Amino acid sequence: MGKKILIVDDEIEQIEYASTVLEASGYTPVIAMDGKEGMKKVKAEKPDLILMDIMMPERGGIGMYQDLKHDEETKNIPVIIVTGIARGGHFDDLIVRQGQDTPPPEGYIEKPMNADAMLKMVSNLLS
Amino acid sequence: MSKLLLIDDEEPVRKIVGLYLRSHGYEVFTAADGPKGIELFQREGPSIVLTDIKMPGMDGIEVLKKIKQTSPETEVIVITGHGDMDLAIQSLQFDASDFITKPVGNEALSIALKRAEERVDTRRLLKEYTDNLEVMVKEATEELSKAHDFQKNLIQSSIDGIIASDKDGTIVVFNRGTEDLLGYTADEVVGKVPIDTVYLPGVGEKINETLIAEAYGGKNRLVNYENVLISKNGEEIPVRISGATLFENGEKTGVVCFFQDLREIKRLQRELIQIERLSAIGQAVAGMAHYTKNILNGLQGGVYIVNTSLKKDKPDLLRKGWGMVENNVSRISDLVMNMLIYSKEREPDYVSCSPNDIAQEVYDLMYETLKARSAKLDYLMKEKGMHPDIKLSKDFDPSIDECYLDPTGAHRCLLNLVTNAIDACTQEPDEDKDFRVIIRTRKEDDGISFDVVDNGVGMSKEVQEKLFERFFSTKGPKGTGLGLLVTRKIVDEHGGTISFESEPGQGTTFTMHFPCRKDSSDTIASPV
Repeated sequence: MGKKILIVDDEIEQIEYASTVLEASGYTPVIAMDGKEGMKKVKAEKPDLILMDIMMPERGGIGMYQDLKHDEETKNIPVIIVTGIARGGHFDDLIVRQGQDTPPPEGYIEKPMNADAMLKMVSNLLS
Repeated sequence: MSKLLLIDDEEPVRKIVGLYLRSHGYEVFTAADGPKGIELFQREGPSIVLTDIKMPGMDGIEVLKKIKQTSPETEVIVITGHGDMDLAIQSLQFDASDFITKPVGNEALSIALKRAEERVDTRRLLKEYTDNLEVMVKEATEELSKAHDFQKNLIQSSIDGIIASDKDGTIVVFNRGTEDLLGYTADEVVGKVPIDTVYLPGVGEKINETLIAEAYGGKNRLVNYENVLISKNGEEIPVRISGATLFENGEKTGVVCFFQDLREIKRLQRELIQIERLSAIGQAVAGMAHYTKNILNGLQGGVYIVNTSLKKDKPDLLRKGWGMVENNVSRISDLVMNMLIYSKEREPDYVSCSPNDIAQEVYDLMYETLKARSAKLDYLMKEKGMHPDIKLSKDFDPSIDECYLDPTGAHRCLLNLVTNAIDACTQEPDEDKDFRVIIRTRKEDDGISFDVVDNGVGMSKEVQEKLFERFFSTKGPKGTGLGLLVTRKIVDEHGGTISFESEPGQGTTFTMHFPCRKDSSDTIASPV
């Protein structure tokens, strides 16, 4: 069994893409479609890495990120934020961290997601 | 106490009459002859003089003339001897108030005095009244001149242009605001040129006609009429004109017009339109870019997986990757279709068709999409039922006949609404709901209606207000805001209506009403 990666996204197309790419490279993808479900899966599945979309309805992605990074049990799991906003990391970083209380995510990847770049980032963070 | 002067050369008369008069409350001065009488008169200024006519030296007529000369308001009563009628008449000609005959009877004296007193009073009242009147006239004149100055200042210092013309149309008031606006000085135009000089040909008549008519602010008024004025150097200046007919004693005496310079407003309006246009384009391009990026993301993923399958010889991956490619190709073709319709590249093509067939097509298409979505979810989640299915159902009215519609357009509208309805269900945080979307058709007196009902997330008041704004979307980069715009455009082209009811947390119902046409020549009114 490869390392477990939690994909959190509200779009099936995006989940399908990421999970297929990761599965084909030997990882075990786990899926959640919103922040609430994502947090449940983090506790139940204890993933090695989280790949998440931040732009989900109801502030789901941001809330989940805050919870993750303030929870002793989960704060060391590396997080890659998938961003659709082509404004560079800085803007998203501020939104995600809501000020400076929350540490920044371990990586950002922009849509359209380059599969090789994503795989490389994942493998770097897991080594 | 009134002063009274009694002149008589006969001492007994002075005594008796003097006693009588004093007893009646007069302060009596007596003189034995004319010159003494005049002297006393000048010193004491009595209001009534009683004088004998026949006296040595200066007679009563002379005394009367002298007194009347210096003090015409003094009441002079002459005392004549019996039978001196000529003298009595003469004295009346010289403005004596009255005459009494000797021997002086108390009754006659009393009546004459009473009359004289009345005249004195009347004269005093009249004088007071006249004096008052003078003060009042003075005050009123001052008020009037103040008001006039104030109005003049008001007119002069108004930033708006004010021109008044008399009943022949000649300019009579031309304020500073108008001088600045048009470049004429008041001296050049006031009393010299007709008001038509500052209008384009025909505009002056039009304004007069409008003033006469009830329209534009009522009879004899003109409110906010936009036109241009011609400046001294021939420039056309856009202005907003208000005006009124002037009346004096019910008769038309002229017209006053107020002109607001619209140059700056017009310039700002043009700028604003330009900015709005640019910002709408920017917004649209940004929306499209995000949405296309999402699709591209899926396409790249599909391509990557197909490549991996070929490289690593894994045929099961090939099917998956190809499915992703297909799926995203269909998304992009949906987008392009919507863009084309919105950009007017596509002309609606009205043919006789069955609305129920159109609804059935959309139902079938979306049913398959939902089935595929559910299967995909189950596969991805590696367990069944993690995410609730969305149940799509139909409720078609069998009595609906064929009618003239643009089937591709109607199909597109319904597809957009059902897609939105499904998205509204996936966005609802309450996952225990039994999500359902209903496509309904209804025959109505004047056409047919399509309803799309969902029990998804619903819309807040703010969202409802912005719903038909250009490129508004609640789906972030996952939407373009184009769907509803296109839907509305198509509905408008059919001369139909689109409406909705929505409650946050309860769901939304969209209704499209299309009027039913019997043949294609029954042309559709183009939307304004």
